[in-house]
Amino acid sequence: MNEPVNPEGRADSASGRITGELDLISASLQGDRRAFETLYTRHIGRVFALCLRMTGDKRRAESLTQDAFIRAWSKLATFQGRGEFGAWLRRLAVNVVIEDARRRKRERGAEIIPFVDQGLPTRGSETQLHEERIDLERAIADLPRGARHAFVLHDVTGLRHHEIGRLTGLATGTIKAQLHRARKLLRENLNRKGGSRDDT
Amino acid sequence: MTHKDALLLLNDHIDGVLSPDHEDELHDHLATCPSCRAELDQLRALVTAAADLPEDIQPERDLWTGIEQMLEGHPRRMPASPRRSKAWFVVGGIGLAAAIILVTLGMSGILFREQVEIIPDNYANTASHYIEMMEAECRQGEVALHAAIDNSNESVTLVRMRDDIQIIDQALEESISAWRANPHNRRLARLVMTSYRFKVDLLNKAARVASNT
Amino acid sequence: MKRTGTLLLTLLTLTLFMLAPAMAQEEIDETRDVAKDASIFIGNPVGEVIVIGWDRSEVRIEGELGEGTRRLDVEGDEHRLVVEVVIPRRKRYVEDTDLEIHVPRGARVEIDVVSADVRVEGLTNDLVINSVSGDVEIDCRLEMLDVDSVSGDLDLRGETGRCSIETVSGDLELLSDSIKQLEVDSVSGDLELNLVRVDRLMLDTVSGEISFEGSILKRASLESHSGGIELFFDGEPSAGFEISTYNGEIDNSFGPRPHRVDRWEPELELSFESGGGDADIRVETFSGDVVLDTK
Repeated sequence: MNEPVNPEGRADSASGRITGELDLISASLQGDRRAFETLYTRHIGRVFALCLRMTGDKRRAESLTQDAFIRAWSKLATFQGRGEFGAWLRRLAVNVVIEDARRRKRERGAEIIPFVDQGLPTRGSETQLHEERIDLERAIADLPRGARHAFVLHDVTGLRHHEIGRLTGLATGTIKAQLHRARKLLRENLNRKGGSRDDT
Repeated sequence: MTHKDALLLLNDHIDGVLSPDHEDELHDHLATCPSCRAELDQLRALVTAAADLPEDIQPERDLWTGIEQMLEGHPRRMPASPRRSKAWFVVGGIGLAAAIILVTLGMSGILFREQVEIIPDNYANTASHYIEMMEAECRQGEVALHAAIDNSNESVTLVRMRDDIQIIDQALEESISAWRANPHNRRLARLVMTSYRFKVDLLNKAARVASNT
Repeated sequence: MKRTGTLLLTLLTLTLFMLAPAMAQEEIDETRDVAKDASIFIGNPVGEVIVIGWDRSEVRIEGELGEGTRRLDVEGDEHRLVVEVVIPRRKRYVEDTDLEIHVPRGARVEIDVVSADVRVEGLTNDLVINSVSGDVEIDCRLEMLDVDSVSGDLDLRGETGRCSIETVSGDLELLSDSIKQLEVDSVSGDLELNLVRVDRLMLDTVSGEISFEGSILKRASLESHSGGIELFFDGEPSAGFEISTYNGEIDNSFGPRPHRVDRWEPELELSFESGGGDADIRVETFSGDVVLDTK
């Protein structure tokens, strides 16, 4: 039993067939862009969804998503795996969005470009559930920025108050207040829409 | 508790951050106040709908090309050259049993924590090395097991052992892919370890059975 | 003269020919004096081994050697006795050998079988059993029990101090009043542990189902990949729980509900204290469901 009967034999290499995220990260660290592209493909949907909802602006979300991946590439060596890579990437994206928002604070002009159906995964479906979803997405996009960030990060993304505090630099009390405000505004907004839809 | 107080607490209540005392007071108030209950139902419905929104939205246009062009201008600080830890050289020389002990130690913190702190970038490699090493160790045993089954005219026991190896391999495939996605999840690491320990034990047992048949 | 010689030779051959099977099916009845705490090794690859503890300071071996076996060796002194059925090398098939062996209750016994079934009762000291495909049945109050099996089923009753069991695909059924420490490894065999009052419990399985009924007094660590883990306690347990599953479900009748560890991962975690929290209970699965309930 100690002698391998046939070292090239039928036992296939499990290590060969398991290629996971860590391998892709390692390869990316060595400069392999195809590996990084695979990571991009795997995570683009969630990163874009996050940027889209936080900004309520498709063009801005596209540009910030790109920034997030570029930053991920340059900071990949600092990924020490405190949790999952996807989560690390999304936190990085949140930072990118918040930094951008701070810069834009000093700008004048309309910041919220109303959300359009494009970019939503629910387009084409006529069911009430999907309509409600679209209503909700639009209502979120219409929220004031602080309330929108709090709601997207807490209720849509599932981060806890203290995690949002770390990302935004805001006190827990402020985040809670923004969150409660967001919920209040959303319910008012959705009740109006629900009412008007029922009327027609 | 006034009705207004209760309204203020509903948000904290559904977020699970209300103190137990307030939780009790709110509970009592809700029992007597239909309007607060309706309020709570609405809040819940909203929070549930938000959590149910799709996690994944694909952008309409290709973003990768733009990203790739920018990668050029963003040279990365390369991690320190991957050092293979001393422990792993030792592993190579002293065989499987000792390797398992070392690795188990590693998983319980001693070896791994040290590696993570000293060479964080190598953590991923360490996990991969472990898996490769275990697979390499097991491969000989598996080949020998298949040969033994052939030589023994399909010994029932050996065939059952081979089936159990397949059960373990299936488990390994699942837990390894989860572990690779969450390399710092010690529970997943432990589950991978356990499955490998089972695989090694089983192959050793198969060797003993094969020598008897 | 030559004719007589041929006749003799024929007779001799015939006698030998007739004797051979008689030898193979030889009745066994041997007795040896041994110490009350003697170490006794019993080896019988195929057939059945019954070991019964008694109050005499002697070992009595009864049974019948199966056809094809070479002989029964009984060797050693009063402190260490080896009882072994010897099979010719390279022999592929032999008939069952059934042995019934009485040993002093306090003897330390080790039994080695391949496909022989094993039954042991009335022992009080240490018992070690190595089996491949034979079933094992034990009813004893032991200091220490160590069973290593591949595909045979295990049925254990009685009290034990330290108990260590390894099985691959064999199922384990355990019925006991008290076990100080129980360690079980099973690849695909199911583990059914009933009425156990156990101080320390360590169960690891890949796909076997674990069902435990009883009380855990100090510490328990249960780990499974895809097998479910069900713990049914005698009333509300006094324990701190650390439960987690990567991809399974947790159903808890004693307190809080599990929460997601990470929004983006399916992993569930549940830690809570129940009763006085005397014991530490850790349960981990990859995809197996976890149930905590009363009997």
